[in-house]
Amino acid sequence: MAIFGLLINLLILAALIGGGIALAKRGQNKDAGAGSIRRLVVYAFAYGLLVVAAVGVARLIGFLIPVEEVARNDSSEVARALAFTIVGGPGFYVLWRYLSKRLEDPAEQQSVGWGIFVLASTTTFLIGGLTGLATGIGWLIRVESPRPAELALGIVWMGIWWWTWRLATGKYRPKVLAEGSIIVGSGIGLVTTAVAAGVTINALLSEAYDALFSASVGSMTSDAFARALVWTILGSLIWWWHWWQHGLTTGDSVAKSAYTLILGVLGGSVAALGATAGGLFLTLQWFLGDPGGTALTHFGELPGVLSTVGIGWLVWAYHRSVVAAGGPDAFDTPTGTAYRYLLSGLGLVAAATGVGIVVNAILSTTVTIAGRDSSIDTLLGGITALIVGLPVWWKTWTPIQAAAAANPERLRHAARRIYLTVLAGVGGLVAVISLIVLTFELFQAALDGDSASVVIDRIRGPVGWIVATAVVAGYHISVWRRDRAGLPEEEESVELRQIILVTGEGAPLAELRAATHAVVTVWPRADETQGSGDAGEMLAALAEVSAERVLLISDRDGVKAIPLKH
Amino acid sequence: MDTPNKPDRPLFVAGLTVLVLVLVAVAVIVFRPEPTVFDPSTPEGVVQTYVRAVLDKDDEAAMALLADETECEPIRFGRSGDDSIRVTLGKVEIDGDRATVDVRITTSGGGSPFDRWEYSETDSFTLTRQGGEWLIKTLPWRFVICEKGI
Repeated sequence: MAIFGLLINLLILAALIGGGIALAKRGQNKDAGAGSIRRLVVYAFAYGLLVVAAVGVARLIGFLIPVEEVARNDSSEVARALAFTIVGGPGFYVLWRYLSKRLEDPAEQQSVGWGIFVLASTTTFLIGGLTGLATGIGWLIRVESPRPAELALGIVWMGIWWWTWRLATGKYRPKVLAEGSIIVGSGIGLVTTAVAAGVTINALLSEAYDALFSASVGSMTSDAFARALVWTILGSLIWWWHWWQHGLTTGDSVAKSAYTLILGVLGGSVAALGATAGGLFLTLQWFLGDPGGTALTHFGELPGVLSTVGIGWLVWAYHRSVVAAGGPDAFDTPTGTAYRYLLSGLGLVAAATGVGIVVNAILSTTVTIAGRDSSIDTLLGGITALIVGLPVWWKTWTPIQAAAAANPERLRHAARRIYLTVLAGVGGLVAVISLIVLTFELFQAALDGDSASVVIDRIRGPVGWIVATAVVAGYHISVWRRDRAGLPEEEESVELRQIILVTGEGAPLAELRAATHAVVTVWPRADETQGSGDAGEMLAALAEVSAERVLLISDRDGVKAIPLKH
Repeated sequence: MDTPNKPDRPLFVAGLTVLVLVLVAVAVIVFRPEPTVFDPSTPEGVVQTYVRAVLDKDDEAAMALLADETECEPIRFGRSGDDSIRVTLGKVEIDGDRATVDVRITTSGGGSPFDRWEYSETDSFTLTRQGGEWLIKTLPWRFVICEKGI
């Protein structure tokens, strides 16, 4: 917890410094840059004072909570808490009075410093308050040792969090990182709830497993269960408040999509699919492979697998429904498209891993002189990865390709380009690293004079990865080629570069140049004929021809445009 | 997949490759020959017999192959429980009454296919010929079963 807090503060400091440098580099408006740096420093100061005061007050209140103790000598602790409160509290109060006056000005509300201050404060006090409350409540329900300091921290910090939440959504609402507090809070709530609920269900199922098979000699699961339950309830309250009450109704933003796709969809699906693979592997290994130990110990991980699958699947399914809520075309929106490519990539990585492991297993059956053989387990691992990865990839990639075939404009989507580029990058990286390892192992084997069986044992890992990368690359290079061939032709447009205007006096040269960006050369007539001086008429005539050089003749009858050869 | 009439050949080839790889792997593992059994009068035969005895927890048979005649107390040092272990034969060098047998020891474990770990190390047994028989003098720590054998 201490390290966690320190890390967050360091991150915030880094963000403030980085933001300051970025603003200073903006250069164009030096006054604005200096003003922004001044604001950043002031808000960083305000944040620091607020945290110091909050720590001090929470500690002081912590000392007031009665605990049964044998002896107590904490004068230095009390002194520190008093110092924090006395310096931090009035300091922040004075600074805040100054800031709240400035914040009446909309320009101040638009400043980067204010946005970062609000997001940093809501995040800090939410995490600190949640941790303190969960531990403190654990003490009250007698599953933790006495923790008055944490209980006080939880209550005080939750109070301050409420105040910062009002800042984030009230009349001083920041314009920079406007939805940040809502989305970050949703993320904190979701992750806390999902992890804690997984632990809670795992504790329950483990208890049931032990009771059914009388597997345990002694257990402590009831305390773990109660502790996890407290975290689950607090986490789900936070998630309900941030996401259900506020996040769902905010407009679409990059942050909201990132929350839905990365935490909800990717986090949920990785947990669900990973645990499914684990459970499948345990089962296959028991029936076909080489399990060590008894059924009781072999399947001891099953409660963990089941709870992770359940929670992961729930999180995934819910956020999928959030993506799908946009109506029948939901999967054609940028977020919906990204959803499909994300899962397609996940399935592909799992399946490719499976291919690599299968190749590895084939090679691992080489001359072994003794041993509890693991090549069958390796093979089962590879097959499990394929069983889990391939359907996910197929179910998401097929609609992507069908949609692209129906409307080739979709081949131009940013998501598709990113998908193919990232695949190429990751594939290239894996291939290069595997080749380096392969070459290294071959050279070392040659220098050591290893036997053929040792050589094969050395290289089976990298060879597996290279084969997997080749299979994935082979298919996607063909996809990329057909994409390029199938792209709708861009309309071929010839850029107008030069206009030769034959006219009398009063030609609208400036208008022509501005409208066409072409070089306009005037050939004045020698006779007395006055041409039309109307720029609109000339542009209409130009629009009817397509050439790099156009001869424009303006006379009594109107304007005539003649395209010229190079 | 683009259109029903035009089969997606690259996809077909990729799918076929994966299928063939899986079938080959199953076939190789199901129908593979038993590991070569080396002549127990050779150094590699002694190492093989010893390692198998240790893995089968047949300490008596294993200790009979140790060069040190003194009796020693069996210990259980370094014997991993559930981990899979494989021993691959490397170089064998015989120099008069002394021999060195290199082995590559691979241990692996882990729950799901995505968090399986594997660790390989190269080590060697040294043997000495006593009364016409090869006996083990020094050995990798993983196969040490008694205190005098270290």
